[in-house]
Amino acid sequence: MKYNTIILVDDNPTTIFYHKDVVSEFEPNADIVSFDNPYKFIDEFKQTFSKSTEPILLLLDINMPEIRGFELIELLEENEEDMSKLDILIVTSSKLNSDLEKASRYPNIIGFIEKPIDIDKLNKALSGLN
Amino acid sequence: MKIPENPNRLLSRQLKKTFPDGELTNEGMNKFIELVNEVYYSHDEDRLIYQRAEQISNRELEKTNEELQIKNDFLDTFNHGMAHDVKNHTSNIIGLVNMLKKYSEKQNIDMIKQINQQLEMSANQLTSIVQGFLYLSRSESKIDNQFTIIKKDELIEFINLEIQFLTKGKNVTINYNFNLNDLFFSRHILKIIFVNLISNSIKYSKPNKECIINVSLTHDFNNLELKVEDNGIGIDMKHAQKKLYNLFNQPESSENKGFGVGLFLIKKITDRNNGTINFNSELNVGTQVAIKFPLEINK
Repeated sequence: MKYNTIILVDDNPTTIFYHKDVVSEFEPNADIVSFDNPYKFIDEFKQTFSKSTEPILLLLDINMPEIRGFELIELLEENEEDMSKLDILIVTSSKLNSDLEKASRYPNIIGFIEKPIDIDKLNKALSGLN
Repeated sequence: MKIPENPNRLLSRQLKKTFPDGELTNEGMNKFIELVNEVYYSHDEDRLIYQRAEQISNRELEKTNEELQIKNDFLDTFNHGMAHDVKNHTSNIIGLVNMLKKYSEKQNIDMIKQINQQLEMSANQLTSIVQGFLYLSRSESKIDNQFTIIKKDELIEFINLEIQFLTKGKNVTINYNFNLNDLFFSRHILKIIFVNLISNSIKYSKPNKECIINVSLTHDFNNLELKVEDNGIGIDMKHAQKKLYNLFNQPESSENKGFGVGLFLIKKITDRNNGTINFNSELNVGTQVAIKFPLEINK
């Protein structure tokens, strides 16, 4: 799957800094947008991304102090946003079985990826091998 | 009447004393019953004392158990949070090192500079997390209960020593306003709180602007107040209720620049010493943290 838009949501600016670099090498022609404040992303999703006609990839940090990744997805659902074009990769610092189980409840989640991310891991996560 | 055969050893000694001739006389019998009565009385008393002792030791045991449970739970969450924090920062460092390799090959000096800056920041964050961990493991022991007369210059010197790696090369001004008059308190507690709060103020200062931190320590007979005020990036209090709760109550939520462990530590220390924390912040204006402790003069 090719993505023309890739969104990064992580509360740590350093993480965004190197994720941006990996992702731009992975998908050189995509627009990469990043948010270190999850609420800003939620606003922006309403304004822009929900209207997209092309698939969008979201790399979502599972554990932010303001809001957990799953809660953020729930908020989008509560707001009745159009999420039909949104594919979510959950970014974690360590994979927990409880999180994997929880993820099956959210149809937009297409996979997990463990930090530090690299191109190999992205490829695997997106081909469903991970 | 005859004395029964093979009575209890103590009883037979008593019988011999009361009835020296081996005859159970009426006079001797009255005396004997009095003695037995006394024995029963003291037995009752002994039983009550024993019961009370048993109750007390049970209560103590329960209390100790409870304390152990709390400590255990705390260590559990704390270890989990620490591991999480360390893992995150290590991941960042690995990611940055990979980037460094790539841009070194390309000889992209500008990127290399940026990566170095990020690396330095990550390493410092990792250091402050580990420092918090060290403090906490120390503060779990008795050290923080040693109270002494606080000397103003000594305290400031120590704080500056601890934060110098954060202020290096940055535009930071710290104004100390310590009004001390024979303050008797734990030096250790004051150090931990000030160092952690000032570190946060520096870490969350506005880029390209002078970071001004006002630090004060005042007291009267009843209360002691520590205050740290900055002109940093601040927090939007509207969205921050949950974040704040997490910052102060769960080390594991601190997937963020080593902020969590510090505040979590401060909360623990404050709670243990019957203190209160007052946190105020405004986005793009700054943050003020005030911590109050009751002073137990008569203790």
